[in-house]
Amino acid sequence: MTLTLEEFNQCISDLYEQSQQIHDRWQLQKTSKGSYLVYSFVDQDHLKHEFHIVYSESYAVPVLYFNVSRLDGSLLSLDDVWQLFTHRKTSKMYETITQQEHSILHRPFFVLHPCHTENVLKQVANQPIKKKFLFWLSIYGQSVGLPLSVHYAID
Amino acid sequence: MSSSIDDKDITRELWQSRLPICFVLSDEDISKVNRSELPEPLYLMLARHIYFPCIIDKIHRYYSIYFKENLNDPTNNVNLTNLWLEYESIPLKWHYPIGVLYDLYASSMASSSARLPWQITVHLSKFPEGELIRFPDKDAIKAHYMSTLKEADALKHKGQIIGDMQERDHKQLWNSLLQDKYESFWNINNKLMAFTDNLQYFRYIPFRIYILDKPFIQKLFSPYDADEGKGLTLNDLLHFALNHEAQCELMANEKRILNTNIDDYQIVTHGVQPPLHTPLQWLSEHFSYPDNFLHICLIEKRT
Repeated sequence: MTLTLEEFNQCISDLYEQSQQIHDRWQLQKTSKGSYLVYSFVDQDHLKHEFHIVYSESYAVPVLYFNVSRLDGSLLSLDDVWQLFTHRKTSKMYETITQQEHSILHRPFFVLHPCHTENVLKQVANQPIKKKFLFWLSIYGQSVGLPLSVHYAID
Repeated sequence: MSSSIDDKDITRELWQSRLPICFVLSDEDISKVNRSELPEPLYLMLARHIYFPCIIDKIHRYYSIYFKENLNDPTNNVNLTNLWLEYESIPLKWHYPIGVLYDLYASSMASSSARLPWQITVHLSKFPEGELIRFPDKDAIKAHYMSTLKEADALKHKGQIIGDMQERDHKQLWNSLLQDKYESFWNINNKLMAFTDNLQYFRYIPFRIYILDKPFIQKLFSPYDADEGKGLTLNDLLHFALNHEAQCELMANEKRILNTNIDDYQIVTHGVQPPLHTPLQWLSEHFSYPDNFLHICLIEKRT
């Protein structure tokens, strides 16, 4: 199951609007190369987590990029990141975290590889676009510590 | 396109092309060497289509002899996992194939002072993590190669062909690449160059266009114009990509918009300049790198 660029833009726009309403942290970035959503927070160990939802033209699905950095700005390595999320490990998801060039910002981010996304979305094939998008976000986001309020599931 | 050379000879020639490279330790790291003799430059002959991280352990081994004492000293910044490569102050994006980096930065077209061997500086500290991807081991660069390959197949065939492949086929591709085995590589790669869905061409052509000081350009582009009923050429691709990029720059209110005149560039891939009228489908089948992407450098002609 895939998303067109228009559907993706609609989904992130809706999520942003809802986020504003419930005073959550999502930011919507609009660039000439495309729009994307950003969520960031600092955890109790003073690690900054940053998540980006970007559209992949090649796969026609959303992609979740993330980075975790320390107070001094240094980035966590892949090993460190695995350590951090090991209690959330679901085997399939885990094999596919790699560091890649962010398709809009062109600097290194970790990404949950989109090659499995179509399969994941098959489970919600007949749902409206917005539900598909939230389903995707809840599955992928959960495995890397992205907090997602239940309020987004409520229309 | 008529030629006295078989198409297969072309892919074999491209596979065999090499670059002589000379690795030199940075001044900053040389000053930390604890021995009376300083490291000699390391000379390697490398295939254009592999990645620097493929030989990272070779470089590690070479320099670890000189830094034996340093490695046990935690206050010292020298750390082989912080190894990175630089050319003329540019950190080398080593997730790009070696030949792409050479054509873009150091070839005779790119640089007025180009010489072979290509001299690259090795750094052992201050890894620029905001710019470079880390490859702690061979598995990491293999994962990068596989994910690029999967993306190429997603573009060409909606991922159908690579999805149907066994894990051992994936392993064969990667191992053939590392062990320089052309036949073994193409036995599997030929499957990725096939057609699906009764088409005579790929759905979209996997390509990346590199221009100095810009991030690479990658967009969806079909090799076939259904309206006109004809195949598109390299020239059509470049035209599309440059104009699209210029549009983005205009929208972003950039001060300088890139030159969209193709004649002002040398179009380089694998160190050669294919004719602009080359059919794009053919180019994708024969001139793609092992990751199944066309990597094309646009070098502004010096006036």
